[in-house]
Amino acid sequence: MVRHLAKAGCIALGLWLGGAADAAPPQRVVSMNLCTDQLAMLVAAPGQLVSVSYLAVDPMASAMVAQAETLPVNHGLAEEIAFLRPDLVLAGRYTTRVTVDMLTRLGHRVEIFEPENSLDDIRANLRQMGRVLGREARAEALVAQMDAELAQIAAAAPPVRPETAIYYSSGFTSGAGSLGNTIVETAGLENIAPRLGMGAGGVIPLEALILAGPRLVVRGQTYQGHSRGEEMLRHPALEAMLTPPRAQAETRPEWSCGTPLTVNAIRALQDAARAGAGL
Amino acid sequence: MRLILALSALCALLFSTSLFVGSGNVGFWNSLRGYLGAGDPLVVLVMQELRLPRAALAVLIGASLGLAGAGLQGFLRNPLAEPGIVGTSAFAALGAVLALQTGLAAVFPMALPLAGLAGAALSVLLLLALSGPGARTTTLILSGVALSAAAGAMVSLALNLSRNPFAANEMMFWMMGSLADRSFQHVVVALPILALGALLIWSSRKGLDALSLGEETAVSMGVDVRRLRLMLIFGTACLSGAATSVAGMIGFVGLVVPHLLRRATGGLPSRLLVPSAVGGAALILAADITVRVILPGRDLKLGVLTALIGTPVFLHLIWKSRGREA
Amino acid sequence: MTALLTLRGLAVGRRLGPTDLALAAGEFVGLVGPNGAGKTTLLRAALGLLPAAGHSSIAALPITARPRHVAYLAQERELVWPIAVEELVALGWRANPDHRGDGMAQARALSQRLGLAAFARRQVPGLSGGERARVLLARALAQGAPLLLADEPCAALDPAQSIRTAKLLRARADAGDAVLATMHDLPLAARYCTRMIVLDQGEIRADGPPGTVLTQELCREVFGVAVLRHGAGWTIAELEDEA
Repeated sequence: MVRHLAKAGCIALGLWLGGAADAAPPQRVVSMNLCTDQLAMLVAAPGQLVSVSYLAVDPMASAMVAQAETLPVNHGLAEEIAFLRPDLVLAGRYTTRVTVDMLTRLGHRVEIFEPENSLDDIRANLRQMGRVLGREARAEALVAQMDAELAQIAAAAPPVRPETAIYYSSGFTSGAGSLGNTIVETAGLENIAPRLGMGAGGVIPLEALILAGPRLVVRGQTYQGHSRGEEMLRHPALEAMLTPPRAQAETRPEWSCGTPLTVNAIRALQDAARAGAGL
Repeated sequence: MRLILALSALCALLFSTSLFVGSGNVGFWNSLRGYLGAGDPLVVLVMQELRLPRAALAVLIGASLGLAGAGLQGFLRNPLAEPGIVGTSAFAALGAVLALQTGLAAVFPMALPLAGLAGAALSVLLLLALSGPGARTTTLILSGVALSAAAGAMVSLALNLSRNPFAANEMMFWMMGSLADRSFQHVVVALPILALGALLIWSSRKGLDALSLGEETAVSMGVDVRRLRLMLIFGTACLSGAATSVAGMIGFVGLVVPHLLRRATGGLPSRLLVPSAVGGAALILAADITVRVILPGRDLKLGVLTALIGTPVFLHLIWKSRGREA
Repeated sequence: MTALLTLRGLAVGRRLGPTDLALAAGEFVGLVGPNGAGKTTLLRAALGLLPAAGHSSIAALPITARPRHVAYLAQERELVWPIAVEELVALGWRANPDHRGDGMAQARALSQRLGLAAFARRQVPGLSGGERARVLLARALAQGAPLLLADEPCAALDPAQSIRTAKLLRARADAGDAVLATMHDLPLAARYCTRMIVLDQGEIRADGPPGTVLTQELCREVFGVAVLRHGAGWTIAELEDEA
C-alpha cells in the first residue's frame, strides 16, 4: 500500500515537474469556469482549447454560445477533466476548492483567475490569459480594441448622470465593487445602490427602490421556468413606476463575466438610457 | 360575540398600523395622502400597490390559517392538529413550487393557488391514511413529521433541479413565509379559493360540534360524516393551500390562535371558527408589523416570528397531552 | 302497538348471526350477554353504523331523519374539548330537526331534573367518569327521540347512580318510549327491565320477561354463574360445582 502511494507520488511529481519545465504553449487547455471559458475562447489559438464548462452553452449566462457549441463541454468534475488529459486547466477563484485541489494532486497544472469586478480586472485577466496560453500579442490587441471602444462610450456619455438601479431576481442588486456597478458607471449612469447603503451586493426592498425613484431600472433577465423571485421583477408597482420619462433595461449574458464583450453590455445600457429617458 | 368584536377592533387597529409601517421612511401625512392618491406619485404607488395589498394579504392569510387550524382541530379532535404541523403547508408549498417551475402559473395565474390546493388536499388524504380520524397525538405528530420532511425534500429538489439558478435561493421563502413585495394579483388569485374554503368550513360547523362526541354519536345525531369529512378536507386544503401558495409556509398560527381562544369560546368547535379567523388575522398583521419594525428592509421571514411564538404553545400542549395517552 | 325498532335478519359477518327483533313503545329491554357476545355490534348495526346484511328500520332511514326517531349513547365517553355540561346537553336537543332554538333552556331544565345541577356549569373533560356518563346520557335524552339505544348506560357508575339510571330508563319506558340498553349487571337488569334479551356468540339465546329468561340452566351455560331470585330482587353467585 505504502509502496503504491509512493509510486503514485513519484508519478505525480514527475508530471508536475514535466509541466513546469515545459515552456512551450499548452496544447490541450480545459476551462471549467464560465468566465475563463469566454476569455479563453477569445484569446486561444484554433485547436488549443479542448473543452469549456457547460454554462458556456447556456444562452442566459454566456455571451459566446455559438462558439462554445463547437467544443465539448465539461461539468467541472475532477474525474471528467482528468480524462480529457489537459496540459492546462483554467479555473475561477470560486471554482470548487476541492476539485481544484484534486486536479493539482493528480498532477495537472491549474491556473486560477480572479473574478472581474472592474475594467482593470478585465485587462489584467486578459493579459494573464495571454501569458498562460502563450498568446500575449492577441491579448494586447483585445485590450487595445476594448480601450478604444470604451473611449467612444465615454465620449457619448450623457451630460447628467441619470440615477440607475440594478434589480435582479428576488430583489438582489449590485453596488460598489461589483461588475454590475462598473457597467452602470462606465455607461455614464449613477448607481443608486451606494446611496441606499448597499455594499457590493444585497437585497433592496421594492418599497425602497420605488421611493428612491431612479430614472432607469435594469432588471435581471428572466429565465424559462418561472420562480417567485422573478414574479417580483414584474411587480405591478414596479411596472407602474417604469413609465416614461422613466426607462427600463435588461441585463445581458455579458453581465455575468467581465470580458471585452462586456463593452457591448455597457453600450447597450447607454443606448437604452438615452432612448428611454430621452437624454 | 363580545370576543369577536374585541378581536375585530384589534384587527382594524393593526391593519391601519400596518399601512404606515415600511422600509421606506415616509411620514404619516404623506402616507395618508398617498392612500388618497394625492402627493408624490411614487409614494402613491408604494402605498396603493405595495403596502395596501400587503396588509390585505396579512388579513386574508391570517384569517385563513386561523380558520384552517380551528377546522382541522375539530375534524381530527386533537388540539395539536394544524396545517403546518401535520404537513399540509409543506405539501401546499410543493404544489405551488411545481406550478411556478413548470411555468403553469405564468400562463394561468389561478394555477398557483390551485396547485397549492391540490398539494394540501393530497397531504390531508395521506394524513388520514396514516393516522385516521380522531387521531392520537403521537400518530398525528409523527405522520406530520414524515409528511413535512418528504414534502420539504421535494420542494428543495424541485428548486435545485430548476434551470433557473436563482430558484434555489427561494427555499427560505417557502419554508418560512413572507408577505414582502406581494401584489394585488396575489390577493385576486387567492381570494376565490380562500372564500370557498371558508364557506366549506363554515357550513360544516354543526357537524363539527356533533363530531366532538365521536363519529358514531355524530351519525346518530344526523350528521353525514362521510360528507362532512370531504367538506372539511377540501375546506382546510383550500385555506392552507391557497394561503401557502402566495405567502409561503407560515406555521403555528392555526395552533396558537384556536388554543388561546378555545376556553373563552366555551369549547364548541363551531363557536371557535370566527374568533380564530379574526384572531389569526390579528396575529399575522402583528407579526408582519414586527418583522418590518425590528429589521426594516431585511425581509425577516414571518414564519420565524410565528414559530418563536408558536413553539412554546406547542410544547405546552404536548406536555399536557402526555398524561392522557400514556 | 307500533314497533319503534324492527330488525329482520340483521347480520354482521361472524360477529352477529341473522337477528330478528321488534321493539315496541313502553319496553325497556336489557340486552345482556358475556363479553364479546355481539351486544355492541347489534346496537351499531341497528343504527346503521356498521355495514350489515338484513334490515333495520332505523338504518333504512336517511341519516338526517334518524335523530327524530332514535338517540344513541355510545360507549366512547372521551371528550377533548372543554364544553360545559349544559352546552353539551343542548347539543343533543338541537340534533332533533323538530326542535327550534338553541335549546339552552331545555338543557338547563333537563340537567336539573336529572340531578346534574351541581356541576352543570363545569366543563365535561374535568368531570369524574361517572359524572361524565350521566351527562352523556342526558345529552342523548335531550334529543327527545322515542327510542334510545344505550351502550352500557350504567358502566362506571356507583351502585346508587346505577340504580338511579336504571330507574330513569324504566320511567322513560313507562312514559311510552322504548329503550334498548346493553347491560352487564344481571340483577339490575332483571329488577328494572320489562324484557331481557340474552345474546351469546352473536345469537339470541332467550328473549322475554326477566323471570322467564334468567333460568338456572341458561345462566350457567351462557354466563357461568348461578342466579337466585328472592321476591322482586335477584342475586348472582358462583357455581357450586366449581367451588
